[in-house]
Amino acid sequence: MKDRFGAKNQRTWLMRFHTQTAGVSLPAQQPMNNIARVAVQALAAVLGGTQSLHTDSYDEAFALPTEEAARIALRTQQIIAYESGVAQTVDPLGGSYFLENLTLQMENGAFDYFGKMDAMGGMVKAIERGYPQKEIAESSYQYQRAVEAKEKVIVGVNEFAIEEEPPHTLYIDETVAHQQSEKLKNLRARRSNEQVRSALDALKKAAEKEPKAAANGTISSANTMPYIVDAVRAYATVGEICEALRQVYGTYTEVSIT
Amino acid sequence: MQKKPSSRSNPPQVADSPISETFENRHPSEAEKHWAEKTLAPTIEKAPERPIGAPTGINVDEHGNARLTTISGVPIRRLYTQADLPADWSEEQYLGYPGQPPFTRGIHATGYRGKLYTMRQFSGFASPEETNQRYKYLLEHGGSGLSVAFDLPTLMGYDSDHPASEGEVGKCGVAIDSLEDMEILFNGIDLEKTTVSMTINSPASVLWAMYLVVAEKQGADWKKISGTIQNDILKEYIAQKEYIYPPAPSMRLVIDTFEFGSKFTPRFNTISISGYHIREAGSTALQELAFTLYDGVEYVEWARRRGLEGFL
Repeated sequence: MKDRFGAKNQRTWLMRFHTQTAGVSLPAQQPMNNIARVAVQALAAVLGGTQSLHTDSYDEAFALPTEEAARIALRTQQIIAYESGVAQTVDPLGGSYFLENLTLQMENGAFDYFGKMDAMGGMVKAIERGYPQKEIAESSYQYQRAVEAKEKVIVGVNEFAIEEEPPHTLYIDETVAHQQSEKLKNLRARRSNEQVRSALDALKKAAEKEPKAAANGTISSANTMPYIVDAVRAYATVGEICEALRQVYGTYTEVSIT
Repeated sequence: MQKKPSSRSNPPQVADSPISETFENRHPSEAEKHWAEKTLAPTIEKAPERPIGAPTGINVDEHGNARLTTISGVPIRRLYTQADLPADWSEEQYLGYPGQPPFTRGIHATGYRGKLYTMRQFSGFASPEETNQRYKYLLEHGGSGLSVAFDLPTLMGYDSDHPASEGEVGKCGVAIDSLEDMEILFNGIDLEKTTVSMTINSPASVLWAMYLVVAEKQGADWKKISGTIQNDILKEYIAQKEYIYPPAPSMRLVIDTFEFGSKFTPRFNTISISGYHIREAGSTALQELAFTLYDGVEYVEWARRRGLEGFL
């Protein structure tokens, strides 16, 4: 922020971040092993100085977490915070030769990518030509290849596997869908549909306009937020508001990256 | 390197032995050189290093020596020393001190000693009623913030009774259709005192508006509430694929929330730029970092074009 945008406000120089452990790393095989994986990842987040942390539940690969699994995930955080000792000193790994070397490699590599995408005219342009999508697809392929060749070991999956019962999947039935549909029906009968329609029309009009920088102390007259707030107050639904915007903006179809 | 592998019965030649990397493109200290020759070389001779996982052409080199990498495939050296840092490396210049630019050692001078990280468990499932119960449970058990997971129809901007929602309602998160559901979701939870993070992107402005109206109905002051909406549409196009509108109008909606938030909800984070989905889609650590930060650059560029420069 400082170098690129000349930001003077020091708060913009800070990297405040939340961390979530990696769902993709939690296989359904021998799921209790995931408690250990989550603990290692959460420890890395805390050593990295995160401001906020979510730890995955061990059963996330095949179901929404049970209450017990959710509690273990929270306890994992508490063990790191209160028992492990890593929170007692500031940045315990600072100055590690290994980490400082990797950090510099990451920093230089990131600036190389920045240069490439600057040349493309920014991220929206890069996305429109499929650049980051292609880069990720290539890395993902390399990783999968390594896993299949067993170059990378995933404990309990491609090594140290055991015969086990297929996991019991938590089945969420359609009760919620019926309940929600029933609520919607009642809502549409109860609310003022006239008020909803006029709020959505006003939103569409604002959405069509090109918002301009506003004068001090106000917001752009075409800013959609106040209109969305009005529509929400009139009990317009998520689907109705998004549909109004779909009518103005259309929908997006992905560029092919092959 | 074209040389043939050295015969195992002879002592390894520096040029093609595993210890050669100690000398390549770096300037080890005399002590390190001494260690490599006297301690390392005989150890490797006796017990060669082994790759983790099945040896393939990738994780062993042409001499049969193990080639170890990070999970992202970046080669890792056996040992890192001072010789692996730039010649001008100094603690003062590269690290600094916590709570002080360049903030390499963290943003708080006291690290976690003054304030622990927020333990924010992401959850949401089935109906707003059931999710509300889970939130109360988490807060009672020491969780310090809430994080809302929405179901797929909500993320895609469809109501629960839309044909496209069939089979997905309440499956991967909570189903929210209207303000009424949002009122149920936060029933009995004081939004002026709880920070709430919402993982919502394409329809972020809609769900955020619902949240603001619930807060208002509770009597909470918009100037005092704090929380976060993810609202990071760029990574949807890059990795997660839960977008509705084309990129440019989507960016406009995001900037609308920035502008609105900067005026009416100064303590609310109107975006949380995410690397998570980029990594989950199979990127390397470097790509995760680079694309995520560059997304940030793009949002700042667009915000400046809207005239939002007060934050700089």
